[in-house]
Amino acid sequence: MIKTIIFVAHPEVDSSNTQQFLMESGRQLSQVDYVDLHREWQENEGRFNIQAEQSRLLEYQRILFQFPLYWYQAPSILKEWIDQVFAVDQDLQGFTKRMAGKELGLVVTADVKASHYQAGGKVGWSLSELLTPYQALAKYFEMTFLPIFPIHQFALLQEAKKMELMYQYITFLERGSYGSRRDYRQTLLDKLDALTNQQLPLDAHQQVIFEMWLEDFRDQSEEINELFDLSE
Amino acid sequence: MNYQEHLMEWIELAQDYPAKALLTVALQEYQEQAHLIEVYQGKLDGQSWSRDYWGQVEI
Repeated sequence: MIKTIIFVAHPEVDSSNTQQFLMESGRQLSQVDYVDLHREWQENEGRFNIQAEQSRLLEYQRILFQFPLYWYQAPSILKEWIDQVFAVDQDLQGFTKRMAGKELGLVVTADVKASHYQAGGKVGWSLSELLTPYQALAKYFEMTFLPIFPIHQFALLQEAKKMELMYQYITFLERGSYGSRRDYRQTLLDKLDALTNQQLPLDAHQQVIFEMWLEDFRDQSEEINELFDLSE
Repeated sequence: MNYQEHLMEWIELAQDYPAKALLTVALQEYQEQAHLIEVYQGKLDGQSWSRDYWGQVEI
């Protein structure tokens, strides 16, 4: 997995169930780091340390902005950060050129249904359309823009759906894409392989059954991939 | 072997939320896979026996 930094733009990350859930999910991955932009801004008396921010960005290959939609846009703290860190007169040590080839992505949460974000829907525009400035930003820096990862009405999700979201999100963080069942299955298999005895304390007999099941799951997965390829 | 009962037991045994969630979604996916295999096999059988291919069969 490539090194990923996630800038969370939310005025109260600590009290946001959605952000806490996502951060707990992503923190399972060793190559993922989170930055709470609002906290950082407050700690620096309303400014960002441009040189430090640019240096940090250069350490990562995948850069994600994660935020709730406020009036069809990101919270203002993200614009503040972009304006300061990407200021044209602050191209320290060839920063702009060194951003080329990296990936830029968005994780967007919204309190309304996904169906609202389309032509003819209540909002009338898709998330891709509303968030075009970030696509332009990626183009300017010659970065690859990733598919937007949307989360709608998190608070209304049933527990099973939240659990699925956790591993869909992890799949997105690890691969930079989502929606592929094959990738999702592979994520599950990788994580099952990595389960520790502390997380799942099984006796020797149960452990054998677990290994047999995992093997069966893996075989089924390969079979389905082959069948899918054949039927395409 | 039917693993469903074991999986339900492991979900109860899991010590943290990520492990519980992983086993829960893995069980769902495992069951969904079995269904999908039947669907794809049916689709392939349908293609093999489709009338569209009858004209190409050499006797």
